[in-house]
Amino acid sequence: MTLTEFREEVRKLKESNKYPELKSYLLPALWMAEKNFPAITHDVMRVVSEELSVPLVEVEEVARFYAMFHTEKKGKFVIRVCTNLSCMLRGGEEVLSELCRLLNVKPGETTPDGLFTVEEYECMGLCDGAPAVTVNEDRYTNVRLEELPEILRKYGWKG
Amino acid sequence: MESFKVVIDGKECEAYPGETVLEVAERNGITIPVFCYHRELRPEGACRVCLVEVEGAPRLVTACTLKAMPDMVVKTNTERVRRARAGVIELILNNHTLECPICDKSGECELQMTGFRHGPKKSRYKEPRREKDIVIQGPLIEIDNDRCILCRRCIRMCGENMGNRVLGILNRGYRAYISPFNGDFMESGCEHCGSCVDVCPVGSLLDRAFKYKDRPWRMDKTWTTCLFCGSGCKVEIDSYHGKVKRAVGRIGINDGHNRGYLCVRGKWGWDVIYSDKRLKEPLLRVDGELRRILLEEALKVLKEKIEGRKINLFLESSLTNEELEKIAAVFGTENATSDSLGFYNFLKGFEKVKGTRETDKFSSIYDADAVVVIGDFIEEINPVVSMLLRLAVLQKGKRLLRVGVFPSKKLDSVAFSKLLVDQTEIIDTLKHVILGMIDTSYSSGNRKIDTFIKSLRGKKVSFVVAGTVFFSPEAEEIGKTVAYLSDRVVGGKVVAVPPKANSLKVVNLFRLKHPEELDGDVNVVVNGELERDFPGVELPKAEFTVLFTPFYTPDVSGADLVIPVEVWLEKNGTVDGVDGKLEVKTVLEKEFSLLEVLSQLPVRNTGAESKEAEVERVNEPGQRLLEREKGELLLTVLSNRTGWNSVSYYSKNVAGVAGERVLLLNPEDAPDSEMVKLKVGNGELLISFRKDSSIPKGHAVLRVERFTRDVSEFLRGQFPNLSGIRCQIAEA
Ligand code: SF4
Ligand code: SF4
Ligand code: SF4
Ligand code: FES
Ligand code: FES
Repeated sequence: MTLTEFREEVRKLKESNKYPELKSYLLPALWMAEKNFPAITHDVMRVVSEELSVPLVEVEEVARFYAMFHTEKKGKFVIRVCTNLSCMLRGGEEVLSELCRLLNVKPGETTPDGLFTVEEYECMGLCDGAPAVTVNEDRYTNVRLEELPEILRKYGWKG
Repeated sequence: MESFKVVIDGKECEAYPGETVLEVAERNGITIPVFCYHRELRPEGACRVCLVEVEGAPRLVTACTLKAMPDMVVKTNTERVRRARAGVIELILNNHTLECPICDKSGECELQMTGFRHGPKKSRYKEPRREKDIVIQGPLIEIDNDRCILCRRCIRMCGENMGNRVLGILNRGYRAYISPFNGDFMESGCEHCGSCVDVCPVGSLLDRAFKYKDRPWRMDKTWTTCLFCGSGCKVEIDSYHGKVKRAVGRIGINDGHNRGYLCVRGKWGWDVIYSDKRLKEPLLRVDGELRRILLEEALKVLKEKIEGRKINLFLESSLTNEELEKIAAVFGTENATSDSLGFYNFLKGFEKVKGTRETDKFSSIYDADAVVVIGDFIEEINPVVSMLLRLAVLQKGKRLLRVGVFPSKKLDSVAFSKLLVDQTEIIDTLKHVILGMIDTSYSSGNRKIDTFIKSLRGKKVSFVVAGTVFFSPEAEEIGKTVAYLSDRVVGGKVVAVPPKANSLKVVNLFRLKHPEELDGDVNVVVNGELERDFPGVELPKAEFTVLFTPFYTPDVSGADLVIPVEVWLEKNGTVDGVDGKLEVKTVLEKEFSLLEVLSQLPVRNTGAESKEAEVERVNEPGQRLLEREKGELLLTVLSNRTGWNSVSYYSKNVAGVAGERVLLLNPEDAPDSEMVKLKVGNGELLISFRKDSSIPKGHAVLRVERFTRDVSEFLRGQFPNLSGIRCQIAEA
């Protein structure tokens, strides 16, 4: 998506008239940016700020507050591994280190081919299926270490 | 309001509805430590250091957010409270750098003070200290995030009080830090008012001009009045061994009408005294060339040249009362002009209707329910006045109504109602309001005006006139109209915010004329710069021209005698400000003094000429004068906030954040070219422009940082008008 296209999309969003205040479109607009750009850059934030009449710094605050927004370049697929209590008790930490071993990255890093970013994550509300992993918006519950290569291959892993 | 009793530490205290426990305690001399609380800010309850024990409440409560209730029993100094406090401070100190010896805040740091008084004796913390190592440097402000305690005072100050929201918290939790957008103050729209620096309790937000320059405890602190504009803000000038180190407002402590708020000029413009354009010795034209001479010689020449001659007096209006009175005595009051001529015209109109030119003190707005603000660009000309108006709404619940032409970022967001009309219609709009106040069944035919009128009915109303009004060809007519209107509302106080610091004294002491009407033999220019204070005006042909100026101004080259004088930071005296008599004080030494020079000149016997005599009274509002023909725009030439009074030209600090020179046009009025040719009478100016949809159609705003020669020439014949000037634009 180009910035001009993005601006158009934000305008459409505004036209939907869902909210009484422009500021309320901030999260939906940033989410659109998250899905369509490798990172929510300052240029993206400038567009959001202009279109929604929200001060620049407020846009940056929101973009950098939520863990699901990336202001640094991310991979095509973001793999989130939960290591909060339920998941940790059921092996979340092991899942994380196995993933990192397979992809040869540290938590938070992106593979050199730009395909995967691995993140250690807080509770995703999937505790009933702990340990839980998500890849972009797909979820995997009760994950076993042996399943990991198969999951990765679905997203184009060549290993 | 009905008061009630609360008991704090065994003492019966009187409290009023809406007050917090902290406020009641403060008023009764009971100290509760605070970090995030600040009396000028909305309470936030972020730091927890103000915890107190309340009888009946299971847990400790933050005194800064707790509303006092009848019969509440509060304890601020029990063992439990002391331990909790010490715990809070311990947690803050755990990750606070230990660099008081090199920190500029040391000696006036609230963490230092509160830490000593209420902190733990030692820390139990064993983890490594967190290092954020994020330092953000703007042109005048620096944020050293390792010192920040995340109290959010700066964010509330900038975002709510100033209405700017430059600063924010980036990242979350442990990694959170304070920054403008992208670390860039300028892009984030910082106006460099310095208020965030002022309220930061620690050494995190710093004045870069002061960094490593001196220590708070050893400087001489002098309260004086900023004379960079008619707001006349009270400011503390700190100096050491006669050298100025910084200016501080001390928001919340300062007892001036500005309560410590300053603008970029008052906060950072002090270094005009160290400008390399300062004039160091008197100059005399000998054989066509300016030569340095001694002051005694200069005085001798001056005496000779003015003896028995009629003076054309050109006055800039930031002089003190004492200086102006001396000037009046030695040069006379009858043949003078001033940069306050427009203001004078306004008051003349006012006086014709009211019978007096006396207007009210700024603080009178606090007695009103509704404040009607008439004028534009107050935030550029008298920045602090616009802040105070904003705060009157936010803190004191006043109803603010605007009548003007252009939107105002500062005021519109808090205005209850606004009438933004074409500049030609200002007077007619005010007349509708007059009719509406006289006749409750009046309908103007315009719904906006009717609602505006309705929101004033039965309210105690004050008027604040400021900004570009005084530079409009209609100044006198607006003066009449406002005077007439003010007699038709309840209350009806009128505050006329002078453009320059002592405009009031100038207009009351001198009978001002238009420069073209001056008919003397010798020109005397005091403190002025022709291009800036009298744009488009040429000095009358005269035998001799004398200049009193602190700087090498462009006029020096055309003068016959130039005598250096001091700038306001080096003066003692008073000015007649917007809030009554204001004091100007200094401990600095000066080489040249206007007052001293003047006292050596003979006093003129001008007789008992009284200027009050001849104002004819009228009993009607003013008449609309402005017209615009098809294809014409009404131009406002506006000095940027930083450039007002040439501050950015002489101050290195302010030069770093100076604004731009650009023409702003409504997109519909803008041509397709990149540059335009602007035409006013015979004047022409080639300039780049920007489309700006906040500029109403049919109007144009030329923002300048400095009234340079070309701008001044372009405005030939317009003085004293800078607004409502008929102009044409052509592609270039
Ligand atoms: S100087 Fe004023 S405008 Fe700039 S960040 Fe601080 S409070 Fe905001
Ligand atoms: S920079 Fe200062 S005022 Fe702002 S949050 Fe940090 S400590 Fe508080
Ligand atoms: S508003 Fe005027 S008086 Fe106040 S600090 Fe600024 S320049 Fe000085
Ligand atoms: S703890 Fe892992 S999803 Fe809730
Ligand atoms: S001063 Fe009350 S919580 Fe900070």
